[in-house]
Amino acid sequence: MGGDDGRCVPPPACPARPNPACMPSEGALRIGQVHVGDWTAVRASGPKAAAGEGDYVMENDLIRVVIDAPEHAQGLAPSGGTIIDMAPLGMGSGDQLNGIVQSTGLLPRDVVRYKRAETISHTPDFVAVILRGTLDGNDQVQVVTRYELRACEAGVRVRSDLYNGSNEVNTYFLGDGYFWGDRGLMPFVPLKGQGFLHPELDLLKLADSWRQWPFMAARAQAAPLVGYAVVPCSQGRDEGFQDPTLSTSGLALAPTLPQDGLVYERYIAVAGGAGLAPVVGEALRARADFKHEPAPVVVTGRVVAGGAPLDGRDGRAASLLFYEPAPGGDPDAPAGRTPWSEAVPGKDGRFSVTLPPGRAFRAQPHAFGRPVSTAVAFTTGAPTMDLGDVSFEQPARLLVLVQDEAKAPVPYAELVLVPADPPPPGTGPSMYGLFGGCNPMLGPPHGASPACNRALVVDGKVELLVPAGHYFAYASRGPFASLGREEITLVAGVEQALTLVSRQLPLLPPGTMNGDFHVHHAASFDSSLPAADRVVSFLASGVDVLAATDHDVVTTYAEVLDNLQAHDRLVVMPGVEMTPNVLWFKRPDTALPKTVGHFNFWPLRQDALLSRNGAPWDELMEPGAMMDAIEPIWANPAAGVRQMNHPWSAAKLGRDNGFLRMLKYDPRTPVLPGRSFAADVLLRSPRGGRRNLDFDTQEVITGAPRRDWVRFRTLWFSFLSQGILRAGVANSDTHTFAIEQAGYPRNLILGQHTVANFDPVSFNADVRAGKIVGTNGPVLDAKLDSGAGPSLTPVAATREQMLTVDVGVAPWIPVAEVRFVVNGKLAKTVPAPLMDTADFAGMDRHFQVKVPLGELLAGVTKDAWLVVEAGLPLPVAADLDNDGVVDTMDNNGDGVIDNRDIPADEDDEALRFPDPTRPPNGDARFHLEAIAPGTWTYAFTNPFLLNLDGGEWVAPGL
Amino acid sequence: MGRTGALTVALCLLGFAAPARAQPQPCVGLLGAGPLIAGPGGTDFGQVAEACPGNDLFLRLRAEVLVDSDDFYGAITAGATLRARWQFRPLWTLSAAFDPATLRYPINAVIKSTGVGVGPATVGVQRSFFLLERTAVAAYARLLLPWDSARHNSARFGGEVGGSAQYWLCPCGGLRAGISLPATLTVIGGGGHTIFAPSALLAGVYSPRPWVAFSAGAVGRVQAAPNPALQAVAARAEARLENRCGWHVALAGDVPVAGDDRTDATISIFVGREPRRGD
Repeated sequence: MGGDDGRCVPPPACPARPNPACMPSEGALRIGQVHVGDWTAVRASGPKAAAGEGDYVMENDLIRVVIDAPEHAQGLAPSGGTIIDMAPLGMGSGDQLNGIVQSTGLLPRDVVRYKRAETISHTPDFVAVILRGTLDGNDQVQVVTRYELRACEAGVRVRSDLYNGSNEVNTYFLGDGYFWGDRGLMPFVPLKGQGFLHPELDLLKLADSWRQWPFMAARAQAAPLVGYAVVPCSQGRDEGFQDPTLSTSGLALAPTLPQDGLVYERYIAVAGGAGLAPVVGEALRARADFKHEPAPVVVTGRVVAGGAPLDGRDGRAASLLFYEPAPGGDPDAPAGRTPWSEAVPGKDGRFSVTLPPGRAFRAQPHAFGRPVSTAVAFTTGAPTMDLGDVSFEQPARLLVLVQDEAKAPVPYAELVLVPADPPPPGTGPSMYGLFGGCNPMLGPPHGASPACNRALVVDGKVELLVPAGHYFAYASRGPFASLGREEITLVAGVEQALTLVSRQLPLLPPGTMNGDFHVHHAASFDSSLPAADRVVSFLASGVDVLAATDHDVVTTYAEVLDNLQAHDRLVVMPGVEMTPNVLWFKRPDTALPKTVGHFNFWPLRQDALLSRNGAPWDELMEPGAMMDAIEPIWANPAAGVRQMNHPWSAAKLGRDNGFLRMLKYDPRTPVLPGRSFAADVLLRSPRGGRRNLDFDTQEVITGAPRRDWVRFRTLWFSFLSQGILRAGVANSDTHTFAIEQAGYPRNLILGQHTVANFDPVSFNADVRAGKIVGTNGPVLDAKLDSGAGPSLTPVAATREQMLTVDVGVAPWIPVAEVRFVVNGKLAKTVPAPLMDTADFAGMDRHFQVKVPLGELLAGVTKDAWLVVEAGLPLPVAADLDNDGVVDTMDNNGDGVIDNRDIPADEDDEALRFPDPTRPPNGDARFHLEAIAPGTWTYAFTNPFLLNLDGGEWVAPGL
Repeated sequence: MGRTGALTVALCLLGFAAPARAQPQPCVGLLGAGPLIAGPGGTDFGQVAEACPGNDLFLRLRAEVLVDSDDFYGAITAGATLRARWQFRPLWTLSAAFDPATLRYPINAVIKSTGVGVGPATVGVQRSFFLLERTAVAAYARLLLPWDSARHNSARFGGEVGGSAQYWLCPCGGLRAGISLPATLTVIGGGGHTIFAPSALLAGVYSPRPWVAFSAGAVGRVQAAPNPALQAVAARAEARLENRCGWHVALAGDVPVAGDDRTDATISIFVGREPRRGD
């Protein structure tokens, strides 16, 4: 704490513990730097394991901890020196951490930048890594952190010393930031009314969500099932805020005078197993040792259903939430109870949970995201106690076979269960109040199959436990196959078998591959989905090719493809989504710094020995600089594709997801020097190489939300009209198996491409050339008389030429119309007789339109561009904030879109431009909503650049 | 007429001078009081001392404001200082100062905290000299005592020597100058950090009536070691009223105009009693 003289060694964090958790074995406690060829080079299992060459590894009998080397910046941290991997040893366990970053505030300048590291090996007692650095924005504020691992401790002792060498008093929140990323570990604190539920986080109103807790914990939603806990040592309670995106835990806030210092000691534990109980047990034992609190009590029991033990199935079918009762008449009231832990029974129904002694508790059984049966009341007394049997209602057991039209089992499919009757609003299941929206909830919505209301089908069958109820059961194999569907009533305790048939439909023209160029799994900081489920979900959806674009790390899915022997079914192009999170970019009209949106790159070389598997650190750089930085790791520069993602997506926690939205790009203002700040930024070359505008493709559809693609489309049209020719693409941006569906939407890449003879150079050349149709269902085959299809290469055309459009679609996807857009304006709409989806199991349906170009080009005197669209009618929305893109629908239904349609929270886009909801049974959109919720049928071709007057094609202008 | 005489005439012609009074004597009236401890920080440590010996007791209430919106940083400090001087020999004065309460409110973007601290304290001694009849000078030394409850893990000691001078230009005006050479040792975590941060003051003082005085000038503050840097060049202004019984109130402001110190202003109000100098 006295400032870093470069030699001082901080003392260990936390007092000694009297009761080691194991008998230390010789040589088990060790430390090293990741180096090819020795024990350090084997990464912990788990998709988030990220150790790279030079990182520091500490290991004992129980766990492995990796602290990245100072030169390895990761995510929010401008340097290494943070915990990037922490995993229990042993089969079936692994790492689920994105990273634990030291910081003193919420701005980038407050994050600690470590500059030097040294190790201490004092075996058999302890090993340690000492990191020395300063705040990123103030090198007069020094921070030294000691990570120490002792034998037989399932956690790392961490001590951070801060010395304020500046001349100013400041509020330094010395603590750790835990970036969960929304869909990852679920944070938990034992506070009244909280547990897994936390106050809404508004970074500008931080006091509203600031709390103190005796420990915090978090547990995974998917394998590897591990939990983490943080126990304060230097104070009785840590404080900070909790949110599924980001938590902080650190010292109490107080002014720190110049030349004064802070010390923060904590014990960060990890434990394997389902639910919170293992790691909460470790946290309570640690508190007892460190704080001399009474020893916690181990409570055991067994869950039974129908008199037989009930397998909790990782918490899906059974779990128990333990809490101190709420005061007043309702002891189970969520707002008044104090949750302490969560137990998940094993295959034999047995559970064990550790709780504080001498307190009254209630154990509330949960199944499939709902409380079930009556809570069991008890008081923790003796060191161990057994609750006996806790009864659950028996679930139904469902065995589903999925076959093709020849009654052969399909290799991969997806099973979707939808309540046959619309459930009353607000009554759906959730993860203890988090992540609602799934009905039924067969598993954690962001987790592995079964998740939310669906399950993956492999080799034609799936068996699962389901809450009793009345459902439609669908079998889906993607938008180019028919649906199987049965209406079923599942009875508690009864097993029911079901056979569903789904046939592949000959919708895709020969030589066309369909691909998704924006895909995540658990290697991304905001995903939990295991790689195997990610791959199988794409196989089930019929996707041929995908770009693996995890956030900030190069991934390949190679091991899964090998295990599934699926290389002949699916091509994976390793890539990355460069995802800046550090606020730095200055826009003149706001004091708050920005980030520059997200950009995908593929195909890349993966080097699993390097930090981020070789991906460049992408913070503090403009898109053009990202494009330059990626150059060295192209798998083949001739195949490289640079993509601007979701250009108008809203910011999240101050991080701008859409580059053009961040820039306030106005699609009505040309991209010319001096015309706007956005134009100047787009045109500049930040590092002398590529300009910020020099991407190859841009997303026109990203995922389901129609409010997005309606706006992305406007931006793309604006670029096309200016001759900024970028291929328009349609990607799912899926982070889960169950919430964002793989391959909805996707791209149809026209040409002569097959999985068997995949050539990344020619394939990606066609991608860059815009030989693409983007779709969430319909297949558009549009050609001029000359045979020319959509492309960014101009074609000679005459007004006498005919444009022929064949719209093909699976029988369960409604298409209402075909639209022709010329130079950004709707030139013609043709109704399509494809709205009847009653025969969802039938064959594909087609509709052909032939239109003379002259009819579409009425009023056009020069060259033009033409895009063909098909789908449901465009949602009617207005641009009430006059930024050039629509933002509001007719939400009050008065037939006029005006200020009265703006919700009370005008920034709530989901209210201002809502997603479609479940239509009535029998509605033409019912099946599509069931398979890909929120999807509004839409397909588009890339443009035909019609050279009508000879010479060079000239963009029409805005 | 020398340069000083010309300046005196100029001041009087400009109306700043009061009607002719008796020949000025060092340390008589409000011209002999001050300078006030008007800079940032508590107690009197690091602030140029008075040139004249004296007995007084006052309470200083100060507010320091720093707002750097570009950096999302701000700090408000409100503090009280009790200070007493005792002229135990004709030319010797003892002083003691103590901060009974200091409230700090630093804002690090959306991270804020409030803390109230007690302390620190100083003791000092001063030897004054009179050179001719227009000039008083003093040498002084102070100790900063490490009683500060606002410090989490450190103890701050300090020693300071300095000099102060006052020159009477005319019965209603004069000049003040001084230098302060404070060094602190902060002991923290078994180590020590020393800072040597001198400052210098130059100000003019004008007392149109016996019961009122104004002062304006500049203060320079540097950190000489470690990491030499200009902390601030600050404009300084004071206004002081005193009744016949020696009770006085004063208002002072210190506004940095250059240097690393981001403090926007330090405003101080003084209430105290000071028996008439020279009585």
